[in-house]
Formats: sequence, structure tokens, C-alpha cells
Amino acid sequence: MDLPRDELEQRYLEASRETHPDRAAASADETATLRRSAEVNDAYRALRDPWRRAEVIIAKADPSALDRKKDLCPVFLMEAMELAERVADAEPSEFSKLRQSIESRRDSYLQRLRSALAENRIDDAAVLLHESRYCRKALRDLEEREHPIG
Amino acid sequence: MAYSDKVIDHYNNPRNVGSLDKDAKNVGTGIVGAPECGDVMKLQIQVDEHGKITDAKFKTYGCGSAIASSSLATEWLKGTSIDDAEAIKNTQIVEELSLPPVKIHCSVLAEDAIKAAIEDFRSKQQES
Repeated sequence: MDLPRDELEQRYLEASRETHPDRAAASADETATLRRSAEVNDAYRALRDPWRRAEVIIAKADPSALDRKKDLCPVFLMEAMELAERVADAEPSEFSKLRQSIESRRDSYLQRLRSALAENRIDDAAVLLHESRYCRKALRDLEEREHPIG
Repeated sequence: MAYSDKVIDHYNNPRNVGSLDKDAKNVGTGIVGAPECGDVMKLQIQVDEHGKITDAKFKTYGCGSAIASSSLATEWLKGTSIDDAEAIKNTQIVEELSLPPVKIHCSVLAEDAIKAAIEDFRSKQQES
């Protein structure tokens, strides 16, 4: 989970050099090379985003964890609904304060997610990842209110 | 993906949006979520002494199909008996709203919310 960004970047570059179609096409079968190259690109995109990275790690550690932990407790869901309501009803003057509070909540999720993964608490990590989605969605919704499209 | 006319109608004019007193003894509240999409749905029923649902309200933060599914559910719930309410299946919602396969989980969420509301109501009755 804590692989530094530049190391990820470097490994991606190595892998993409190895699998680059221009380079590898001469060898073996061309479609397999292209597929491999596309896989490397997808993996890099996923790993660059910490949430998707966490998702990949959880799924690898325990493929059924995310599905098994999908039922969130009613108390949390009630809070999630209140948060969504606050975003929907906020006055423009309240936007920046609300943004700060949701962002710090989101950062705390990421921190707890990192510790859970570091300590191999996969079930806890799955719950945290699920819960964090409500926070991230609230931020996106708030963004939409701050900068309405059209 | 195109929404059906019925989904759009429920989305634009949702029925029975709001809240009932969740602490009232004759009110059952179900709250469920779909974490994959960050959706949350609250559905409440008010039941009279004969086991008939006299009022139903919902509040949903989610996509059009989730809103339409819960709006339709409250329409069906009003005036029905709690036993008939329990028999409502997500497939009926799918059919009524012509939901595409990728939106079936929205109807499942509505069915789960109905079940959770009934369960909450029943557990309140047993407490007395």
C-alpha cells in the first residue's frame, strides 16, 4: 500500500518497456503482446489511485471480503444520509467549510485504511473502503454544486 | 443508457418523499446502502392496528433508478397489508420500471429496504 509514487512510476516504466508492442512484436505472438501491454497500463492506472490500489490489495488478499462486508451498519448509513442531505442543502457560503470537513473525514478514512492493510486486517479494510465511498461521493456532489455543469 | 419513461416520471415527480417519526411505535424504518455506488435509501412505513400500511415515505440519495425504485415501492406499500408488503419482489419493480440489467441492484435495494422496515416495525411490536 505504501509503495512510493516514484517507485511505482519506475516499475511501470520498466514493465512497459518490456511489454511495449514495438519492442516485443518481433517475438512471439502479437495479440498476446498487445494484451500484456494493455494490462500493464490498466494496472498502473489502478495502482496510482490510492483507493483503487486498496481495492486491488483487498481483493487479492481475500477475494470475497468486499462482497461479504457490503452490509454497512444502519447507524453509519443514517450518518451517510445526513451527510448527503447537508451537501444537498448547503448554502454557497457554507461550501468551503463543508468541503474541509468532508476532506478531513476522507483523509482519515485513507489513513485508517492504510493501517488496516498494514496490519493485514482485511475485513476492516473492506468496511473502511465501502464507507469511504459515501464520503468521496459527497465530495463529488459538493463539487458539482460548487461548479454546476452548464 | 436510456431510462424508461416510468423511471423518468418517478425521478421528476417522486411520490412520498419525506420522513415519518422513526421513534413512533407504529413506524418501521429500513435503511440500506449500496456501497459500490455510494447510494443510501431510507424507507419508512406506518402501520395501523390491523396490520395495514397507512403511510409510506422514502428518502434516497442515488441514481435515477434507485430513486424510482423506492418511489414506486412506497406507492405499492400504501394501503397494503404488511404481509402482502413482505411478498413484494424486486423483479416486480424491474418489470414495472423496465430496468436494464445494470440497474437491477437498485430494485434489490428497494426490496431490502422494505424488508428492513417491516423487520424494524415487528421488533418494535415485540418489545411491548
